[in-house]
Amino acid sequence: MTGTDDRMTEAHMETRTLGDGTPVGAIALGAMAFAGFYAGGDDEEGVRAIHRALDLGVTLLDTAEAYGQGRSEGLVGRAVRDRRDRAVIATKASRGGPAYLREAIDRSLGHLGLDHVDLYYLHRVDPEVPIEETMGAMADLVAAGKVRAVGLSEAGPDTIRRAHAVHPVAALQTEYSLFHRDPERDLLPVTRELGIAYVAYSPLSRGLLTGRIRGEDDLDAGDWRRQVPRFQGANLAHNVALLAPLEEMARAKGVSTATLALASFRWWAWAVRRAWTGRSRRPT
Amino acid sequence: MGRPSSVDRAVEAADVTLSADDLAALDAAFPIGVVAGARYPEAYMPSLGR
Ligand SMILES: NC(=O)c1ccc[n+]([C@@H]2O[C@H](COP(=O)([O-])OP(=O)(O)OC[C@H]3O[C@@H](n4cnc5c(N)ncnc54)[C@H](OP(=O)(O)O)[C@@H]3O)[C@@H](O)[C@H]2O)c1
Repeated sequence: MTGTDDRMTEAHMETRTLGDGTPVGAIALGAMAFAGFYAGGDDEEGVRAIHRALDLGVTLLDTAEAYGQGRSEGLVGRAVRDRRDRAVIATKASRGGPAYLREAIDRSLGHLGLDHVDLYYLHRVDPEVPIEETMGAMADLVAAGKVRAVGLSEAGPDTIRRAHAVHPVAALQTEYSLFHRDPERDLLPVTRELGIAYVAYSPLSRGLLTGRIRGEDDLDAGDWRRQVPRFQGANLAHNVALLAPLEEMARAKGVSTATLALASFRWWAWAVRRAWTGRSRRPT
Repeated sequence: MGRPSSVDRAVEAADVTLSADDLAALDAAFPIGVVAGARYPEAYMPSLGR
C-alpha cells in the first residue's frame, strides 16, 4: 500500500444530500480506474482504496456496469460486504428503456452481491428511448425495492427537466473540473432550481490536473486517454503549460496540485451560491 | 482516484482554505474554453449532454 499512513483518522467529512434526502460525504470515490479504464487496473488496490476512503468519511461509492463489464461493480461489492451500512452505493445502466433496465439492474445487483443500490443512474441518455419511458421504468425499479433513488449522467438541461417531471432525479453526474467548467453555465443552475444533487466526475480531468502527466509517453500504450484529443500532442503540451499557476499556488500552500484542484470546487460552489443569493457566506 | 494514497490527497482537499484572491487567480487561469482538445474522442462527443 503506497503512502497510506496508519494514523487514526476521525471521519468528520462535511456532507451533502442527494435529492431524495440521503446524506453523503462531500467527496465520493469512483471505482472506474480500478477496473482498468486508464492503466491496468488493480482489484486489490481498489478494495484497499475503498476501505481507506470509508475510514476517512467518504460514503458515496460510484461504479457502473460498463466499467470492466461488471469488474468494477464486483470489487465494490466485495469491498463493502462487511461494511454495507457505511456506504451509499451508486451504479449506472448503460442504456434506457424498460426491458433493458429490468435486466441490467439484476445483472448489476448480481455483480455487486447486493439486494438494492442506493442510486441508479442512466449512464448516457439513450437516443432510442424517450426519457419519460426510461424514467417510468426507473420508478418501477424504485417501487420494486431494487433502487432507492434515480440519477442521470451527461444529460442536458431539457432532458433533466423532462425526466424530473416523471420521477424525481436525485443526482446529476457530469464532468466538471478546472479543465471543464461548462456545467457552471447551464447544469449547476438547473440542478439547484430542481433540488437535484450535482456530482462532478473526473474532477482532476482524468489525471491532467495532478500535474503528473507531462507528455503522451506518461500514458501506457493501452491507456484509453491516448484516444482523447486533450491528451494528444500539441493539445497536451498546451494543457500542461496551463497548470503553472495551479502548481505554484499548491506549492505555496504546501499541498499537492491534485488536492488544490479538488479544493477549488468547494470554494467555487461558495462563490456560485453567493452570486445566486447575494449573500456572502463561508463554505459550509 | 485509485491508489489509497490518492484517497488521502483527495480528502485533504476539504481542509484547504482559499482566499478570494486565490479563487480569482484560479478563475482567471482556467476560464471556460482555455483547454485545447475535446474531452472525449470526437466521434463520441454527440452522446454527451443530450
Ligand atoms: N458518469 C460518467 O460518465 C463518468 C465518466 C468518467 C468518470 N466517472 C466517475 O468518476 C470517477 C472519477 O473519474 P476519474 O477517474 O476520471 O477522476 P479524476 O480524479 O479526474 O482522475 C483520476 C486520475 O487521477 C489520478 N489521481 C487522483 N488523485 C491523485 C493524486 N492525489 N495524485 C496523483 N494522481 C492522482 C488517478 O491516479 P491513481 O489511480 O494512481 O490514483 C487517476 O489516474 C470514476 O471512477 C467514475 O466513477 C463517471
